[in-house]
Amino acid sequence: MSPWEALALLLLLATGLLVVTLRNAIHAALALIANFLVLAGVYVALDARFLGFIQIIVYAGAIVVLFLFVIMLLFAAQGEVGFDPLVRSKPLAALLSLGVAGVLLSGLLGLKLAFSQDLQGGLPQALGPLLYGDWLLVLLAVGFLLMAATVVAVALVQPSRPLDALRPEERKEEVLR
Amino acid sequence: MTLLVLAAVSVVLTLLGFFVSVPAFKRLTILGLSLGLLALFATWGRPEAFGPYQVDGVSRVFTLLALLGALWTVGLVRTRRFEFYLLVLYAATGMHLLASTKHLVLMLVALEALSLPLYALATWRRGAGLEAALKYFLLGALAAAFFLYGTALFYGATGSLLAGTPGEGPLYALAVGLLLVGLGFKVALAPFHFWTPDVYQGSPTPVVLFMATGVKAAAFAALLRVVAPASLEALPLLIALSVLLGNLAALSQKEAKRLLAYSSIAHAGYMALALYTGNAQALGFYLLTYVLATGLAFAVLSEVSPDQVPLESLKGLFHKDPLLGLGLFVAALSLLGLPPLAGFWGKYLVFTEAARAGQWGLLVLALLTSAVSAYYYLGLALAVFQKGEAMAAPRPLARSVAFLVALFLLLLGLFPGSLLPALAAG
Repeated sequence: MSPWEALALLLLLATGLLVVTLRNAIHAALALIANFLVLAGVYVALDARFLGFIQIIVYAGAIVVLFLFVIMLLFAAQGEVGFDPLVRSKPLAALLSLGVAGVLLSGLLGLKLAFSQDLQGGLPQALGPLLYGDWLLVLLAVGFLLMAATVVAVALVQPSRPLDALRPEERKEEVLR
Repeated sequence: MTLLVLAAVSVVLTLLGFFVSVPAFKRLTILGLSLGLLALFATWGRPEAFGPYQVDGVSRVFTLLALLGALWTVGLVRTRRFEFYLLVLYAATGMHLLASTKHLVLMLVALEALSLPLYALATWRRGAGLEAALKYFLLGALAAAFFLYGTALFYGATGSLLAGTPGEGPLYALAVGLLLVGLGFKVALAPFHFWTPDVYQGSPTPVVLFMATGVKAAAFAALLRVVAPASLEALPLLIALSVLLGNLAALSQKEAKRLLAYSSIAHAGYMALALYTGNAQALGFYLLTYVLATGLAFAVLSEVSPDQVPLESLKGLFHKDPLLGLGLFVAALSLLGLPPLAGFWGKYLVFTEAARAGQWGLLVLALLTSAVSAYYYLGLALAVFQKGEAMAAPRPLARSVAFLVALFLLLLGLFPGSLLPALAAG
């Protein structure tokens, strides 16, 4: 294990632990960003540069911002959660994650990959032909999935009847729901 | 061809929904699903392939069942919002895709395409079902994560994303195990069944019909491709837990939908017996009888009440409405597997597969639990003949469909051989 790998491992573990132990939800989200940035560095080091940038743009950029929005909306802009929704679940959760880590480690130890692909630096030039060649059907299926997800999201937030057909008190209820 | 038809209909109807009335939209959805069925039958027996999308016998039979479930659900539901029908159509497309591919990533996409609409459908009646639907969603997301992990490890272990690639070693076993968790959740195999009773009880009954028929069919098609080629040590444990837990927990249920939820867990266990030899014909026949019987039961229940149905409220159904009462009677007996009905042959075929695989312990357990299940199935079947004040909505079309399905279950039980060659030809 090279010193860089050890550093990445330590940073990943530390930020990951911070995410689940910090009491302030905003701090936890910031720790998550740090975790994603280190992970992006790992991807780049593994020759998957495009994936690394996507990791930064999509995860650190878009998804954590979404987290922050939700935190601000739910806790009235105060990150201090201060309560544990699942009481006494922490030891159990720790035990479970250690167990999963152990199982994964035992599976991965001594693994020899008998195959490799030329990643060509992991840039989009190498990914594009693959995406629109062998993986075309999967790409189309993802498009279908996104359309379905959009309709699902709209159907979930819609009131049971059109808003202008509701009585005033019903409308209030729908808005509060 | 089928995928093209279903996807095209989905897209067109998404746009049309804003311009036509909801009853007309319902008819259009039925038309679209029927077109899908037509495309399926038009190419029956001829393999098709486009990249990782490969239609073979397994995919045809299981898609047929999923589309039947979707049609039945759409037919039973009356709602003010057209999105309901659209979501069923999306889910049916996802099911067809899931049943017709060996590519694990495509499987994951299809799995999500069928799950996301179902999460929304489970919450269709706000309030009562919300908690159950949230449970379904959270556990479902977790199961999808397991499936994704399994996919990554599978690629690491075999160097291929195609299910059924032979492999060995602990990593391979772990990968297939994780894939089994992801799919086992969808078919409600114990111990991944925790969502089932709550969701079945809290969701609108026609949606439950869809979950019990379409989702099971599609996910078992995937299980057949993923798990059957890799003999897993964990499978007997899952089967034993499912048949035991499902049947024993159903004994004490007082509510029909919850009872059928536990029965669906038990049936998932019986179906999984066919995974040992990977015999698609036996599994397909079992699923056909199960889909028809459980669909019939839920269709009758949804006529009695759109909400929960305590066993008390079923009493007197036969006197109030002979067709519905008889339908529930036949459905319960077929689920039990009583000889003159189709369910018997389904169980017979699946148990034969278990015997062929040499799983005698499991076979004895399955037979014993089947006998135990007689207690609650007979309770359900005989409740309709007792004296009581059952109510049922007057809907002639739903009634005649229920009658036809009951008749079909009886005929299929008398002449099971007439359909098996067609299923095998697929």
